[in-house]
Amino acid sequence: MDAILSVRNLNAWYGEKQVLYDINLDIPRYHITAIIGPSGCGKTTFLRCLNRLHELGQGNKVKGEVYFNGKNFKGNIYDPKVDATEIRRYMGMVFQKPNPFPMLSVYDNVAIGLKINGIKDKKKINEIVMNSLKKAYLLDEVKDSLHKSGASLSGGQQQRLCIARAIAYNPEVLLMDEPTSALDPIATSKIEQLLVELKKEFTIVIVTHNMQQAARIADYTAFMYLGKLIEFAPTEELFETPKNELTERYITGKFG
Amino acid sequence: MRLIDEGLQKLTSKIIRMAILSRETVELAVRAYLNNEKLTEKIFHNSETLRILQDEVSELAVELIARYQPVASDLRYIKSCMEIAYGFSRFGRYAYDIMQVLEVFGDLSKCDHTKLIKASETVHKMIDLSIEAFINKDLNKAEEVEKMDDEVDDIYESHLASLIKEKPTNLNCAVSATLILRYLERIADHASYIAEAVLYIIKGERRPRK
Amino acid sequence: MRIPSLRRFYDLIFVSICVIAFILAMIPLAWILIEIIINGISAFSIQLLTNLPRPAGVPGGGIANYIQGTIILVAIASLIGFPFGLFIGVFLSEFKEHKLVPIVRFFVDVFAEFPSIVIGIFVYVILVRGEIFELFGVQSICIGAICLGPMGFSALAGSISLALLMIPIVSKSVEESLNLVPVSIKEAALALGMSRWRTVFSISISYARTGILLAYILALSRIAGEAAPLLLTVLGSYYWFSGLFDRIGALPLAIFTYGISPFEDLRAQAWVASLLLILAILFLNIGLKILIRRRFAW
Repeated sequence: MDAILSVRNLNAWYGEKQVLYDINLDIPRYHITAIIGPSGCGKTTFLRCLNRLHELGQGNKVKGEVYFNGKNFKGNIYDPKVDATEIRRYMGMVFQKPNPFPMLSVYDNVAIGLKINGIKDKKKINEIVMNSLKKAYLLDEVKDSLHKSGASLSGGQQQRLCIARAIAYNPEVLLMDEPTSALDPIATSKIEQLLVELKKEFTIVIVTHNMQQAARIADYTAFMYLGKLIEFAPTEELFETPKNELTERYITGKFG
Repeated sequence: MRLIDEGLQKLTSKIIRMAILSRETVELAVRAYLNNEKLTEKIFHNSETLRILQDEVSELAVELIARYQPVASDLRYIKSCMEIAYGFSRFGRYAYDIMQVLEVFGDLSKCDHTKLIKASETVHKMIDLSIEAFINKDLNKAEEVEKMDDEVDDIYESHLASLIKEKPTNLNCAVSATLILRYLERIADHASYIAEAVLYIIKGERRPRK
Repeated sequence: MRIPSLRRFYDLIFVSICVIAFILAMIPLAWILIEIIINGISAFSIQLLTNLPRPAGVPGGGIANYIQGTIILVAIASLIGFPFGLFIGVFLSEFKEHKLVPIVRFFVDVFAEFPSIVIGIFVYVILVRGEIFELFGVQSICIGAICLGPMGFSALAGSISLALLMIPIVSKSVEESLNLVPVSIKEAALALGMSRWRTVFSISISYARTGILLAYILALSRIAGEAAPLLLTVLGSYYWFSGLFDRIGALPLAIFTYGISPFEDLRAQAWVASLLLILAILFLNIGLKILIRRRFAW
């Protein structure tokens, strides 16, 4: 497997409470990997460890290695010499509740990521912003309201704006934390189609509590329970013939 | 109790009804042939019932899939039930075909029935075992069924061989026996498919087709 | 059976008590406002806005320099006070895990309650009389040609005392505004690869900009009307602004000195000064707030 991220013995704590136990996992490049599991199993924490967001919380701790085999960075992102801010530029993140910057316009929401990455040329910025909005299936809907506040869009549009914002500066990995759980079914299916399209250019890791969503769009699925990785397999395999009994019981609804 | 469990129970009870009915129908057909009994109508009626039940199983399976998006063991179970229902409906069809032979060839009680009796006993046993394997999720019984399939195949093939070697004395007996052995062999095949389905339900594995 | 009407009766009593309390409390406030408006308007003339003060009894005196003085003092005070208040507010809101935060917050809370006259005394002793320089055993502290020494009653001392008053007010409001920035917004910025500092200044402050500007306005209107610290640091002046290290006039001081003076015409000028001050504060609190909300709110 061409793994873009290799997680080795990852452990994480919320203060005194340990929430991840010895996670070992390889994330395949240019595929969609879904992480499923009951509430509190640590899947969101795991995601936030991939872009070193978890450690920003007061009292939070992370131990272990995450090897990133990227274009501009190869190595352990938790190496003490590594600047976490730099790592986050190789990853884009989309959150459960759409959070576009309301004090910036739609255009600026997408542009701000570029400015952070040092792109100053106005023409180039314009080109990339338009391109990102197009890739996020949003351009047609907002091309006349680019100057309006980011918060003036509908829920589904806001989330696509967040996706456009995340992909604008060309991260290699897209981390999505239940991106459609706050949206209606039609908005959800638009975004799912978008993700399947995006995996041609980006590696996508998506945390979802909706198993059917994982079944629909993921190439690989990981099942987590109580902070441990229980099973990881290609999606058809996991959903037709899971190898672990816990997995079987969870996905058939016998618990959780 | 999950929402899907009620549907799965309905599915199971339909399959069991089909199992009992198809087993009885095959038994009737063989008896009719051996004792020259007129059971055409009953067998025809059973065969029709089995066809209807098969459709019901199919519809119920699709409904469960559409409504509950089952996965893993549930999904494999529903898929297998569709295949098994088809198998049982085939039993009814072949039983009917056996009756047709009787209709066409008339009284065959004077023919040598040894091979036929042996084959039909094995087939009855196979049907029983495959039904038991399904109900009890018993892998051992399922394996036994697959072994017994070879026995029935052998009887059929040896019958064909003997026909080629020596010209038969009574053409009616020979042809009717060939036809009926063929139908019994097909029934045996389907019984072994049912046993294979049990393996798929439990383990998710498929035997490679011979 | 009687219960519903009994309940309605208690309701009525309660509402009536609230309304009466409101009216009673508003009466003196409304009365003050009315007195100021009536007396201020009746004594008003354009001369007052353009002329310098003249001795009592001499016609043609004005309060122009006091208006100028208040504007200058408030402007300089906010130049000093706002940045400090902003940074302290940012520190308290965005760096809560830092060890110093509880100490800083304690000091800010205490300072917010300090009597303004105590601040005045402090600045008087330290800067006006110059005891801080005596402490270091020097006449003055010079950087190149710019020297700081005991400055006597001066505009700068006055501005500094007002700034000290301003800092806790601004800090508390800024901290509160920044606390309202949702974590999701900050996380979105961090996830984009923004450094912590940039997140605070480009995102948090931008998000809370309306609240922060309003905090600024609030502080301005507070210090514009403070008399006590100015009494001890500026003392007052009858002339135009003549330099940071010179004395300066201010509206609150004028109101104080003229208001208790035995001279009728000076007292009339005090009413006009009061009216102007009230108008300025109303303008800041109502007019400017509306403008800010419209321009900066998203």
